[in-house]
Amino acid sequence: MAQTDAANVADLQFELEAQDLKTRGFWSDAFKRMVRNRLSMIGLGIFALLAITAAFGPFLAPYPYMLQNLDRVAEGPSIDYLLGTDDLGRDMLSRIMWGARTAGIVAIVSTMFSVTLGILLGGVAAYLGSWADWLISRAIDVTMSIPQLLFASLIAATFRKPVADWVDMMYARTGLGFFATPTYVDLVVVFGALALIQWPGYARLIRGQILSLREKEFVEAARAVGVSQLKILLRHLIPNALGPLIVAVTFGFGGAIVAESGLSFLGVGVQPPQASWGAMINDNQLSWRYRPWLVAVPGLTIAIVALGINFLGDGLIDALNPRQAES
Amino acid sequence: MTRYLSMRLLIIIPTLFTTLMIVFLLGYLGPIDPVTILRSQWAAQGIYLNEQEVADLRHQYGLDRPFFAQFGTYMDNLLQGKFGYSFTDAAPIWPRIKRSLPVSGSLALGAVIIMIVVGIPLGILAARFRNTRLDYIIVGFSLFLWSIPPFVLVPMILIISVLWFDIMNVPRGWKGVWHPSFFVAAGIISLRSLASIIRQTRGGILEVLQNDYVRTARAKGLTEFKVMARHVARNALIPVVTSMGLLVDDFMWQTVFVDLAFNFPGLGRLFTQGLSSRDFNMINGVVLFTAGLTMAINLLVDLIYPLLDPRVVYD
Repeated sequence: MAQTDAANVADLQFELEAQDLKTRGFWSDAFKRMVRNRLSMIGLGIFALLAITAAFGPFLAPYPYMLQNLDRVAEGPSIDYLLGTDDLGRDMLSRIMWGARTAGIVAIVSTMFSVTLGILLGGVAAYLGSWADWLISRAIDVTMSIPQLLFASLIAATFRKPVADWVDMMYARTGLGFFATPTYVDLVVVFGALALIQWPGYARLIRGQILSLREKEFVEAARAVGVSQLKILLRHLIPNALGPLIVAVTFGFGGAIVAESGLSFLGVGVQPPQASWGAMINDNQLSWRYRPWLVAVPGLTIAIVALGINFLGDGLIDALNPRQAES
Repeated sequence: MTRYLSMRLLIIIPTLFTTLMIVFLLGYLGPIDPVTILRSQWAAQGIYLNEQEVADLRHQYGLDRPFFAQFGTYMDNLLQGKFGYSFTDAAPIWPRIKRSLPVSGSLALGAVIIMIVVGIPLGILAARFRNTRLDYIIVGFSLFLWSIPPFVLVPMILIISVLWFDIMNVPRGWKGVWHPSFFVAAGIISLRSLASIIRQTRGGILEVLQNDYVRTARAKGLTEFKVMARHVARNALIPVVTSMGLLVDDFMWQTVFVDLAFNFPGLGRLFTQGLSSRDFNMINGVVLFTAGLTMAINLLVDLIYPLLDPRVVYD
């Protein structure tokens, strides 16, 4: 049944394609394929919700994340506190919303860092070849041989104090209000740690993509008719490598959120009283038996967000690799 | 082949050396050293050290020496097979790692068995019945399991099984391989890799099924089971074997949290203990061991390739 439907759709698509061959490119095609996939649309919805909460959560949250109501400590969900309060009388919903900002910022910035690093190093390795390739490949091997979690927590533990000292020094020298709050320190440390463990994956992907695309017939053809190096790079190599990269970035985004909460759970990530989902689980895990919602709420939040982003990534794989999806 | 093998083994040495140097450097650069932690621990017990005594203690441990002197001593000991002594209680490191190996090893083995026995058949099933409800359930469920981090899963399982259904007690401590807590823990550890194995197997089989030799095998009247077992599975397992290289990393991710939650004396707990007391020798030992294991498994994976695919030949 599903197969015949798919066949009909494919036929229809073929006819449509034959009709307006010019107007429908790869991307609009991919977009159509993705919209048809229900799970990936759910994922996109969750992702959008995270983005909105990360951007506007602090303004929408009913209470400040540090506000304690000592008359209402460790309560279950109620009308005043929709998701209950924690051991210190802070509203769980507000802390979840503030935590979304932490997770969102960490995911965006650390993914940006590691993708940039990965594209640069992977591109250099593929283009220069010889010793540069050798050196970068060995660096990838070394970084990937250390278990990620161990490496990230070591980096975070080592560089917290130096970064904090640097921020203090900058405040003393410049007097800028930006350096007065120590909250940036945690975030910078986490960005650095995550970028340093994630870049090898991207670098390896980019290097492999460029090396294999360079040998493809269409690139050879372009070279044969005298297209310039830069144009080949811009018109042929980058657009073709973009699909796998987008998929990897999506999964990396989810991975960064999980990794941040993992580091915070271990106590080397975002420090209290800043709101982080992982730290919220860690803070409350001893009282799971008496107040299970304190653990369940941040836990379910992480699980839903990670699941949504993975659904989205899965839908993107199908949308961007039509050959694999049809098999 | 011999040449390839010796080249691969030779490259492991500088890679491990660099890995160790990076980890050692992180410890050296870090602002907190074991003596700082010791001082605060003793202060909590009412023993206060002045600056001179702290400096003496650092000198005694050799922590005031320059980086290369410290690293050189460590390497020198390592080449003699010594992993050094713990800074917290002066006990040697290697016996500790050795004692944690049966725990972590049996957990890892249990996880791998679950992965192979459950994961590969599920992947084959999903591919065989692709685009049916069964396929969607298997793939969706594996993605679900893959998404949930262990530090979320463990409390959830505890809440469900202890508070709601009351089918077990809170597992604390290592009670051997036959205790239910072992199966729960091994199950949790396997989840991440399980999901990727299911997806890899499914994808691999779908790709192989399109080949002409599968049609030929079917046309000449082989049973579906034989087609799958002889012609499809063997070729489809190549990507699965590749993903085995990531096993150690996945395992360490899960085991750090599982050891914490269940209070197992495994490698994960050694690491978190080492990290919280900045016990450099302990951290170095665990990282060295796991990094070496990763490289060994990657080498093993590359050696298995030619067995699965005769076209792969090393020099």
